[in-house]
Amino acid sequence: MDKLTKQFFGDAKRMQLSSQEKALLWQGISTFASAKQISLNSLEKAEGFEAIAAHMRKNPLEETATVALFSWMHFHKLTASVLIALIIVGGGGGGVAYASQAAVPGDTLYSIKVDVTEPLIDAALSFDPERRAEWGRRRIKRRLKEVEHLSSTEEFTPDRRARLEERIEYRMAKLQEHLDRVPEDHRVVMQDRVDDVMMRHQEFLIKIEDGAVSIEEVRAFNDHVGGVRNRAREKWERKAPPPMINREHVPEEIRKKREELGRPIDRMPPPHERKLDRLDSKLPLKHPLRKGRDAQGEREKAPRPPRQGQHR
Amino acid sequence: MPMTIKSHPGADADFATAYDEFADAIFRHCCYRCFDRERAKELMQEVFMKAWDYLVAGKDIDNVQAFLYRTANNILVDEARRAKKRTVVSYEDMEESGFEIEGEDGRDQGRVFDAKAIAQVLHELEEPYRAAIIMRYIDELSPKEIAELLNETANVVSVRLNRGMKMLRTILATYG
Repeated sequence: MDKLTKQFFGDAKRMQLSSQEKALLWQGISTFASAKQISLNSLEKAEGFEAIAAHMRKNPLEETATVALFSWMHFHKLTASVLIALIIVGGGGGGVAYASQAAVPGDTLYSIKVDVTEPLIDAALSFDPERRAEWGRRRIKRRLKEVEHLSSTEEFTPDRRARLEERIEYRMAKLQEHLDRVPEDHRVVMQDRVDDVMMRHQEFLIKIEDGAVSIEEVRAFNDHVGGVRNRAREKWERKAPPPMINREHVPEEIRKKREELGRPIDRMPPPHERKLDRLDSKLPLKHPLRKGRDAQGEREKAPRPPRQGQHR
Repeated sequence: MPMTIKSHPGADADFATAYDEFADAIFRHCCYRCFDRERAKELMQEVFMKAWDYLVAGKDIDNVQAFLYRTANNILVDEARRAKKRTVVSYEDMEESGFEIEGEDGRDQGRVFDAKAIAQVLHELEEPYRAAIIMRYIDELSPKEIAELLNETANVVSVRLNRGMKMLRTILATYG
């Protein structure tokens, strides 16, 4: 091939997309792909499971679509920033991203919410582990809120429950990675906040258990969250949380106490009775952050300073 | 070893990798076949969407590169059939339609052939020689791969390449 022809092909090969164009086109493709998820029928799943499990054991791989997107964004930081700006500020993508925020598992837009929008926010954060841990906590909270929303509908199917349980497990593992890099004094505070989110969720599910459409799914999910919470507390070297009232598994000690008091066991006690349900009720119930209140929650009377300019 | 994508719920990671690897090449191929940068972007997007549809239908893609080029070629052939009247394109039209080579920094350094010149030369090449030359010398596919993509024999592809190269040299000589 002569020099001129070589030069011609060399110049022709330099035609390419800019990073911004490439990212915007990918956004269109990924939105399209999110709306058409690949799924297998149960027979295919059963047939393929053994081979896949063997392959996974042989080739442990943590790569997921989110990670792939992440790695792509890692190499195209400028593009990622442009994308984030586009999604947050507005435009078509912004509308879809905004609309997807209310999506729950099974909705068309749910993939955009968890696999596009949330990783984009994730990528926009700096490498500060504390900020990443806080965002991780919020992501767990978002998954739990989705369950709370689903629990009042007939759509809380075993399949959706299983998918959400998987996501909670995965998010908890990722959060733990970030927490491990947070300085110790801040880490304890963060751990408290994560624990609080899970505890409140458990309390909520127990409260609505009777009225839930899919009672079995709600209970199963609550047990799962309890397991995740217990494992996290164990890792953080904390004692197991006090058991919560569950009609199926009421601890004997609590049952006796409630029988003595003549109170029903099969309902969640109101907040002022809740201390009776704690196994560690011998411990003072005074909350360390609620200063000025005694163990019974009564405000301690302190002398008030006279107001200036007060006339009787 | 050609890249493959199996149709399974975790295929989106492989799909993203395929996009990262082949998006530029498919875009370039479309661009030199339709002479419209914006249309080439749409066509490239369409190619990847068709690939995803193929996976959703439960079929595996055994050779991603070949699949993407074959899909692109089919779309381009359909496009050319539908728009036969538009095949007479002036170079000014090409410029107006956004036929330009744009790098990362948008600059055009050390280039002998600019976008307009490349478009002029390739446009003078007739089909099917143009497609063969683009696939062989710009997309860097082997004659065997081109033959498989075009459903032709390797011999036919070689003849097209030889004739195409002769035409190209003649055009380049007059261009110089």
